[in-house]
Amino acid sequence: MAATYSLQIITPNETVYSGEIESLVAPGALGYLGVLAHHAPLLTSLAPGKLNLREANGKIRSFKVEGGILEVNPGGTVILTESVEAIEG
Amino acid sequence: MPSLKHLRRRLRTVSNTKLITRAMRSVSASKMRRAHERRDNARPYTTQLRNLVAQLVEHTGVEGQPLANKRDVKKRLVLIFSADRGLCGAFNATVIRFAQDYLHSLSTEQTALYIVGRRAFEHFRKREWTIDKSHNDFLGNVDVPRILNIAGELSDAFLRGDYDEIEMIHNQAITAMSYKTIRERFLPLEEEELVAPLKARDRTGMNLDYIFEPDPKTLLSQYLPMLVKTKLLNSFVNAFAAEHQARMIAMTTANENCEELMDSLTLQLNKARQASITKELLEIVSGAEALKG
Repeated sequence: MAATYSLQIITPNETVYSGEIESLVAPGALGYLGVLAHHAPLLTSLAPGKLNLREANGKIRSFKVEGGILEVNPGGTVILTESVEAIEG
Repeated sequence: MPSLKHLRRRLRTVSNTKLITRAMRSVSASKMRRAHERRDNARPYTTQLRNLVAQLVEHTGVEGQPLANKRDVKKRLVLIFSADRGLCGAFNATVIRFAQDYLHSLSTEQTALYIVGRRAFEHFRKREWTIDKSHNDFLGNVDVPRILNIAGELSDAFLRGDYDEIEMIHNQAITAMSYKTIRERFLPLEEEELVAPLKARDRTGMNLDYIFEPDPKTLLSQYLPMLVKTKLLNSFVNAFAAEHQARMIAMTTANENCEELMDSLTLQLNKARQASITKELLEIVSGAEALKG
């Protein structure tokens, strides 16, 4: 099984997502980027776009984000965004 | 002595009032809880954002950030938060008086008002200051998307140079029973305020060697507008929570007063009733005595 790390997606309203994931593909301001476990600490901003993540159990989930911040940190990865919507299917 | 009928009517009025004050107290209590919930929900976002911004500011400073650009104040915008409705003790009066005292110390031509809350609006529209905008329909509900929008508008106005400084005046709860009116700077942002989170807490987990993408200065310029929004959101939530709290206290007091009044009225009513019974008895007895004689 691939290594996992914790991800939180937080808006001013609520914590939208919190869980262990294997990987993440985010719409970075400079283009899409992927994050796996043990990534080096990284701070970047997100452009509006689609966010994909693969959960520890192999399930894939997608979100639509309207820009924001991505912080990769050994303590856990955090996405701050003002607006996010889960995409079904 | 007031008549029995009169006393009964008053007693009924007071007990109806008591029902209303009690209902209003419950409503305010639940609204206050909701405002606090909003604040608690927003806290992870705010804290995280403030920490990241603090690290960036420490790294690159705020020079060149338009939102932190200090200018000579030729035009100042003062945001005033009051309630839309009364029945909350001195809540509105306090904030209006505070604001007015402060406004008197400024030049009228160089000052514009931005008002949230009908009470302050009604007060200031008859005064000498210009009101650039007002919102009278929040009714103490924290409408997050709308508040974020307002923050965006204000930042834009500041960046366009419509205003050189934006300040906020609002009530803030200190304890569960008291609040205080405070004035704080909204824009421009100050470096000292931005790096405050670094001093306030232990710094473990901070100051990592981040890869910045793009460079820290650009990142900061993207994060600051988000920070400004949470700052306004915070003030809204604090002001509204204080409002509901003030109303709850006012209604609790009113409720207690009703109870006291009801007690004293009931006592009077009973006395009056007893007096009338005694009087009737006396009449019967003396009538009987007279017949015997």
